[in-house]
Amino acid sequence: MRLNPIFRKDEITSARSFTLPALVTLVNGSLSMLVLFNLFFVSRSARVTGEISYVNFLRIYYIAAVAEVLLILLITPALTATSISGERERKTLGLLLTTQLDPWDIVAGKLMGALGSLLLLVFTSAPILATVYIYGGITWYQLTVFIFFLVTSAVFCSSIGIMVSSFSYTTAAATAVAYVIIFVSYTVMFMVVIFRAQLGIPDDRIIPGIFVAFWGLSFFLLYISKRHITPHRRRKLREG
Amino acid sequence: MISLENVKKSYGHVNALDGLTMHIEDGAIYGFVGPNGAGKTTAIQMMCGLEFPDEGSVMVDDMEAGSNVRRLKKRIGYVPDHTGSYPNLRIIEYMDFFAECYDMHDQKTKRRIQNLLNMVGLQERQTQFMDSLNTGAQQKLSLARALIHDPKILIMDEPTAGLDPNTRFEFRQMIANLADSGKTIIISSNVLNEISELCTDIGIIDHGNMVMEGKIDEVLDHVNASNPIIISIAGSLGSALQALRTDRMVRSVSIRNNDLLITFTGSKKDESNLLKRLVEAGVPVRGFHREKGNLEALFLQLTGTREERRVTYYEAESDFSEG
Repeated sequence: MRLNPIFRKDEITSARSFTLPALVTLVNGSLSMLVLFNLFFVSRSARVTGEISYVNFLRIYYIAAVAEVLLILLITPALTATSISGERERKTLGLLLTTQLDPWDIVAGKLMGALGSLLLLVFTSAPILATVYIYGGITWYQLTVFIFFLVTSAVFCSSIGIMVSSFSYTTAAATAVAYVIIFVSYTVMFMVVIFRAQLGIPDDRIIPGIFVAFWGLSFFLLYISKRHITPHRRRKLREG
Repeated sequence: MISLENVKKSYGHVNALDGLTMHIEDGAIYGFVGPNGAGKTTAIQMMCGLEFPDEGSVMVDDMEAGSNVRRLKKRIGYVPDHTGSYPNLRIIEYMDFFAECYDMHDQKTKRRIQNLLNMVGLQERQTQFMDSLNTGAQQKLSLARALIHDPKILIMDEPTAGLDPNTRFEFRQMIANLADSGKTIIISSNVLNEISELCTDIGIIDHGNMVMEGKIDEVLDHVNASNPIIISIAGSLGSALQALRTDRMVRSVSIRNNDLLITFTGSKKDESNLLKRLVEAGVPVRGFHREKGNLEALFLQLTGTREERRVTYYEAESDFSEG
């Protein structure tokens, strides 16, 4: 199978940079500290009270899960905001567009590069989340939904980052705008979840609905990115 | 063949191209000259399909530039005025990356990359990172990259800008060798000497318009025709001045040392008739030739920076033109 050249090139350059290993260490270190501290306090409390609170173990899972989602929301713009604007700043975007690469290849390569880093974070943190299985309480369904939500968030946030990056000429501006859009998007999502009864959305539809909306928006944002980097004829304004 | 017909392009209120028309024949080395901001880069980017005109058409081998036809992209190699480098990539990885962008993976490609690196003198340094290269080496790498898919047309936007004289010379040699292989080469440059030494054709652009285009010899002939004829006289100038006074095609005469410089509007046959008349009038003519023109002068003249100083010099020295 032919590997996307942009993805391959980005993987080579990111493997040489200090960013990715530092990110993996930082994220997994933070999550590990969170889980270990929680375990420590649960066991210390058990020594004092003589009873083990299984609810607290379950809480570890929720805390770690929310922390991981937040980390993805924070990390993704930093990873993706440089994707297209970086090529533009290095003046390589024009060169890429003169090759046989389709603008879709460029956008897809950038998405794959970002997802490569993010999924590395998700999967390397799996053992930390798996600590909840020491005592049970989480079903496979819940775990699958959570991992799918992480993947969906990674794709959605990456798409926002790439789209903003394709419009922006500077990386700093792209990063700031991507954070704002991600913050607004997730605020809206949580509002919809919280007020689903008032909005008339049945409970069994809310999770599939969020997934469909995020994936649909992701494809739309990627399409906009592709369109924006494709050289095109300027539309004439109608006279009169 | 590349042709731009009445191409207009504006950015806001700034007209980058204002009805540009140019034609580049297959196999030509076309020098694209103009002052900064004349619209050279915009026109070049249109040929490469990176910009579209607001009006007019840009055709490359009967295909519309930028129509995203893979066949068309395969025919064009582009060397921009900046290298466009990836500092974290090694030279060989950079070449491999662009080969993949052209869907080239086989052993033949690997050999071609080695040949190209050898051609630009970077084969020994292929494992070095790009950020260790100086401007000249980066520009050579850019040329090698543009040739990776063996394009029929090579478009270079000020490729020698900022290079030292040695690298500039090497670059010219490489371009001359490429031209021998039958490629159409378009070079935009502000260094006019380069153009006259390298190119077969020339186009001079100013304010988004083509002000002169043609074969380099024809253009130089045109330049020569507007230059003065220098007549060297052995002895007194009096008889020569007397003979020239009566010639209607002599517009002005000035004296420099023992030479007469005349502005003469006639054809080459008229020039020979003038010489004949001078000899018949007993003028001891030692030399008779038209001053060689240079592109620099033409460029300045056509782009609005006329050589007032030189004209004034001739007129001021003349003790005859008003008489």
